[in-house]
Amino acid sequence: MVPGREVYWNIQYGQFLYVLAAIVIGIMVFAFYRRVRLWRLGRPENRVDHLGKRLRSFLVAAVVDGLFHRKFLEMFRGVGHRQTTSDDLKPRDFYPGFAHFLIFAGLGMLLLATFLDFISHYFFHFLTGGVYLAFSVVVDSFGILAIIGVVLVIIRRYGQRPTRLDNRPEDLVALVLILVAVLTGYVVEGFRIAATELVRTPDWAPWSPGGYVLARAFSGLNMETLLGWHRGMWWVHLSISLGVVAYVALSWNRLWHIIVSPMNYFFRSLAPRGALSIVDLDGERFGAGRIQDFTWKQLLDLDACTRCGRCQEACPAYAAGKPLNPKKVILDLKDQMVEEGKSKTPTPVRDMITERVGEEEVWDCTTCRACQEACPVAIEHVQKIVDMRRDLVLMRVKFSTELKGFYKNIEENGNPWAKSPVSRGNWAEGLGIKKLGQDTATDTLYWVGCLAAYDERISRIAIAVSKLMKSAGVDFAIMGKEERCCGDAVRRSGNEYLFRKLVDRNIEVLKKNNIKRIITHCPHGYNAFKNEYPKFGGDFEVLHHTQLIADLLSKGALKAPQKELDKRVTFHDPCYLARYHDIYDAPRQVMASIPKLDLVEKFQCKEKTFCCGGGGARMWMAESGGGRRISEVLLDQVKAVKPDVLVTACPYCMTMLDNEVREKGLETAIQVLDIAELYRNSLGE
Amino acid sequence: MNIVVCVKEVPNPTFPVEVDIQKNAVKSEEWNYVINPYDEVALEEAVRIKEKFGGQVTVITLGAERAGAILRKCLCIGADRAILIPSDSAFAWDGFAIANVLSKAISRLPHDIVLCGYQSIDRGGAEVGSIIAELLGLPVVTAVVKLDIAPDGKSATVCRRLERGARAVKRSPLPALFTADLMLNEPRYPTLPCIKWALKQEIEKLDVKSLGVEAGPLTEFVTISRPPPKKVFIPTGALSPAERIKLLTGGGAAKKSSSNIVEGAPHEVAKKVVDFLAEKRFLL
Ligand code: SF4
Ligand code: SF4
Repeated sequence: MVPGREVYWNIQYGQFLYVLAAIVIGIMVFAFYRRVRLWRLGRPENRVDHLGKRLRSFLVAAVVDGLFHRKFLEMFRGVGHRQTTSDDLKPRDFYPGFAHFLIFAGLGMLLLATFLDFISHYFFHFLTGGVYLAFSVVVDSFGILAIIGVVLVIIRRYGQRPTRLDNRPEDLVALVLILVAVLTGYVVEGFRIAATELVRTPDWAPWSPGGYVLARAFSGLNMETLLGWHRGMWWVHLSISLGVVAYVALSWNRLWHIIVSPMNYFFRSLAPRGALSIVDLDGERFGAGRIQDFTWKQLLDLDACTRCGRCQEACPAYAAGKPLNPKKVILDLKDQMVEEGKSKTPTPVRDMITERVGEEEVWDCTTCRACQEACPVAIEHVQKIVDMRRDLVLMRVKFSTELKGFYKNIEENGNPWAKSPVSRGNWAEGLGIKKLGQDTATDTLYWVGCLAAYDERISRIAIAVSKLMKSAGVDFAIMGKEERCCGDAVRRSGNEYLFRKLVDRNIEVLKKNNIKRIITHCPHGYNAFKNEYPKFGGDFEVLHHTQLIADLLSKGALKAPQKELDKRVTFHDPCYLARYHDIYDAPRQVMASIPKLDLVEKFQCKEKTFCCGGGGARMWMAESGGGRRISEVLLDQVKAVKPDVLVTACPYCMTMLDNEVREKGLETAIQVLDIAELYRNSLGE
Repeated sequence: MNIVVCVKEVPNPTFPVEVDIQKNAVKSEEWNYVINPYDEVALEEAVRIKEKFGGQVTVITLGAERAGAILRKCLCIGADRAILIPSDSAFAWDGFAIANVLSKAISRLPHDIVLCGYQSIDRGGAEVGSIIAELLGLPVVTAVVKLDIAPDGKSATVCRRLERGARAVKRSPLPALFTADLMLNEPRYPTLPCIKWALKQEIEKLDVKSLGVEAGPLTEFVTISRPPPKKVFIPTGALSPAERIKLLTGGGAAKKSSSNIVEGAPHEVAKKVVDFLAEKRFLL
């Protein structure tokens, strides 16, 4: 006799299964349609552009996730390096990643097996003989893996209880349902094996290890009982499995993430990471003050969230004890969406920002993007937070007095301080630097930015950068009093209108002077020119000074440093350099060129860098109530590696860290330097 | 409640303004002009009253054509009508000449309240408001820090700033003219819908001649002389940003040698400060 299995053995009316399945599928479609209607509360947005690219990276993600799982990739790469296969694939921490993989693979295999059984039964009879036995042992073992996975997850959720997970009844329901469905499957198999294989062909039985164990336990029973129990359990297993699906569908249980999260990944943003959406200034509403102001994709995001809490763990504001928690923002918005979907009144039952998410939360964000970097399902937190700020600023004018002064100063003086634009180029006096308008024989502009123009500490960075550019023979000019704020912080604080006025004005002046290339020492200006100005007609080649110095050094245009430093140095990666633009090798190349520089990496570096707390216009607002300063938490990480010199490459990071170091009285122990200053100091001149 | 607010454009105070002594005027720089901050406060108050009692807010200015820009800002903040009386020479006029023209224009507009800034930050004459009131025969209260309109809209109770923190409370029937002190309120930042509305409005123009006044100053300008230069504190990088800001806002590095500094445990200090405020009648 050839090994094999008779489908519907001992079962009458087995085909009734198809009727039930059809009903359950109907229920799923219905539940999904109800959800689609919720997403359609949102505004339109095109997320089906570049279909080829979307499909390709989706498949890569599916294969990587399904077959190898992201966790295993991380083992093959250095910690803290962005992998190259697909931009938004994120590694996960080992334990939950492994457990998720077991469940994913186990259930996936069981589903596949059912499908193959179906094919084999009705079409090609291929599951016989050795193939059947091999099939049987593989499927059976994967089912056992799924059970192990569920147990691991239960231990984590209810034993270890990490803070980033909040336990809701639906989590336990989902886990128990999976467990019951799989276990009853084994019970059915056990009865079948006890009644057939154990009696007739005992050497086949161990090829179904899960069922075999149970079959041995049942084997004492008489045939009549076995057959009865088998039949009963078959129907129980069937109804539980289908019931699970129906229940999950209707209650919109978290298991929907199996479908919605991949969908969300498919529709994810392909725009550059640092480009915010453009507000239609001719429209009626600006920003998001109610759920309908978001786009359908932003609402899909809310349902794709698996509540894994990775964003919460990564958020610097949360780590510093501020009210903001990116996970909670997403979940609050989801509640708002559900409530708005049910509500019959045109005005919201609860105000989305003030009564749901919380104003403080909206203002706490530094737009550091750590949450998005951590999110496994490509949810876009920063855009939502900025959209809510836009509503507060443009529609309600609800913001702090500091921001009001900040806007007013920029409107009237072109800089965040009440300082005259006329004195903007004063720092450069006596350095022999060209100014636009006087001698415009260059197409390369050194964008100095507001901080370096007026703050004496930051001016020293600009002086170091200009000196090194001159020594390398770079032909450049500065704008002097023609320069105005680039608008980064203005935009991230939500004032799109003022931002657009600045962009239009700056692009006009830059074009008038035939500027083709912009060099800047500010990652925020870098992002603005690289990712935001092009949308308004300003296309320039943009270089950050870390890239420029690394490039000039490798070409030999810049003198290699001679002086031995003989110090422990740590580098703080600015969010807008590392996480937004993947620039973290350039500064390290520069540091590597300095003799006897002992580079020690912080616990969180490169794309995992911990924000200084100054981005997203936070530097211009008062420290919000509660918690510590974000820069304080960052300094703890710095202190842990005991550096003599703390190097960074951003005026915001410099200001925040310099301030924090002084605040803690560490200015003699830790020297805070920009990479350009570090380079110039080691020339030995 | 119809309110007329007189506003003026002034040189942006953060610019190092250069005075042209020959012409008795400041040298013009790019976007060198802003609304006189006192007038902005007056306008804000007018808009708040309108929001409570209804009516119309009209802003009016006498000045160069480019002053249309500040009128537009006034529309953003909440004015309903904006009137420009163009004059290329008014910047050199004295208070009487300006008040004379403005009062004629105001007399043609319905007005229950006229609001002016207490003074302009460029010349600081602090006289135009009072002269307008005189010419229109209205009661006037200057340097107002609090303005309450009676529910029936027939009178106003106002609080005016005196020296050393003292306050005088006065009551006046309406119509009346008030000049606003900077402490009266915190002017709002306009919403984008308001800005967009304001951009579509027309700025009305009123010819000085059509007002039928003999326009011109009564006094004559002779010269301006400069005071000796003052030493200004410059923050250096040796200080932390927090210290720099403290010094800048504090006005200098020197410690104040006053006997008013109270020291001790926080609650004692707080009590002394409250006592001091009460004694000086800051706490009403
Ligand atoms: S961008 Fe940064 S600060 Fe803002 S929510 Fe995300 S992690 Fe937190
Ligand atoms: S937003 Fe992303 S990272 Fe945060 S809890 Fe949801 S799925 Fe996890």
